[in-house]
Amino acid sequence: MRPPTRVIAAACAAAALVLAAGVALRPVVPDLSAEEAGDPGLLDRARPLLAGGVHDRVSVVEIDGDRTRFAHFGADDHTDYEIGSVAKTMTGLLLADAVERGEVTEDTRLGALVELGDAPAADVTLAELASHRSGLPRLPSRPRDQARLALAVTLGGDPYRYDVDTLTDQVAAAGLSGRGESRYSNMGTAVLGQALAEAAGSDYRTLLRERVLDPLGMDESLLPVSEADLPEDATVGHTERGRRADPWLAHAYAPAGGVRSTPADMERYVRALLEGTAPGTAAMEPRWDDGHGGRIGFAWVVEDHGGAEVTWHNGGSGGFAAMVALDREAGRAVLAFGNTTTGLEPLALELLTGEAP
Amino acid sequence: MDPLDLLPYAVAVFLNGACALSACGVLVRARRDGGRHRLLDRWDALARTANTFFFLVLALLLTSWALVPVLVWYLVLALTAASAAAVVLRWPELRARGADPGAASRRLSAIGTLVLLAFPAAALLVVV
Repeated sequence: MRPPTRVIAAACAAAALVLAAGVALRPVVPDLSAEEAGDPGLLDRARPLLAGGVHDRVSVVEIDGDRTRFAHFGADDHTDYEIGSVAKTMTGLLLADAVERGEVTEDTRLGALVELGDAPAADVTLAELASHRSGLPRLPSRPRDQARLALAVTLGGDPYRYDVDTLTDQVAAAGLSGRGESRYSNMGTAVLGQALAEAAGSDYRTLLRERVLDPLGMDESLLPVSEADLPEDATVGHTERGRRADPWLAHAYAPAGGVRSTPADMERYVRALLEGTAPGTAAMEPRWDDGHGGRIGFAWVVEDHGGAEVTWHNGGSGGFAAMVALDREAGRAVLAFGNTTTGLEPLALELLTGEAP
Repeated sequence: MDPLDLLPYAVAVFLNGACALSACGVLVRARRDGGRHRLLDRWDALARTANTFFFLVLALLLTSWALVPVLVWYLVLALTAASAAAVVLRWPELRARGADPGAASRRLSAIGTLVLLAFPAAALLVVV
């Protein structure tokens, strides 16, 4: 028997409602922007390397001696990107600089700068923190922190909205595992940055601004503590789940990944590193095994690649990816930034060394 | 390849597959007048529809759409919409509540699934 017309109409309405909601809430996966700008040769070399993965805006910077080339897809020299863990290299520079200033030594114990009582982490040294050999876990290990992190990652939120006191509590609660061996730790770099700020009688944002960003003329770089600090046209990141990512703000974990910067500013940063004029350049010297066949300095990883010794660090946040790779001997570097989570390491390494990783 | 690299694909197959299977199950049951595989009452229809939406919302939230074609989303969405329409069509003919021994558990199942659905739905509201 045929259902009454009103029932058929209701069924059609139900289907239409579900479809409309589903279309409105659909995942959005961007395509690489067709708006290209910059050096035609670098654009031609970078384009095929962006064929895989998901990309939207991408900027590539190639430094070769005195010359710098930019290649932008949907961006320009002043587009802001979250640089994620590339910020750790700046914290590494701050440590090397603080040692040169005599404020701390590499062997200064964390407990001398941060109130940790008799927690295991009080005994680790600043050098161990900078080189990921402290034994601290990658992320806070308390169950409530783990749950918060998982929720934030799932929903595209900022997983690091902790204040310094909470970070201190997390570090105090953390056990050490494999101290002396390489074990990547966001928590370790975060507390290192806060400890250096304490040693300087400052806060991390001010310290980085005064000792690295300002001396290098990196005026477009910022550490936003709230969304109000972001530029009006701030670049929006895309999560791998097809959502807009919340910006990662510069709270207690800023030393591990709270910096936003632009291709122009990062060119200044890396050029100063290549020329040895950046404060704390000694941070780049490889001194310890990184456990993966390479060596590590203060945050910087050094590996042989394509016949060259490459000094590098990558970065990723909820909606951005970054890669900085230097061939110090040749005076060359390639930097890459994007507002999706697709890694840019293969692109940067291939452009730098001519060989696919 | 690191086995963990396969995890996003496994999550996508499980959630989208569960949604598609659940929607197809509702579609088949809504067309049947007799037999074991039919909608037994309105609570049964509600429970199965809520179950389909539960997996749909989870699939939307947890699938790595950067790795999985978005076409998959439209497929499971179309199946879910069809199942919802099928339930509405069938609704007037269904008893409000069955008299069989399983009626109470179906009602409990419907309420429980609706409560469960509220969590990912709330998360979805936060995301958008």
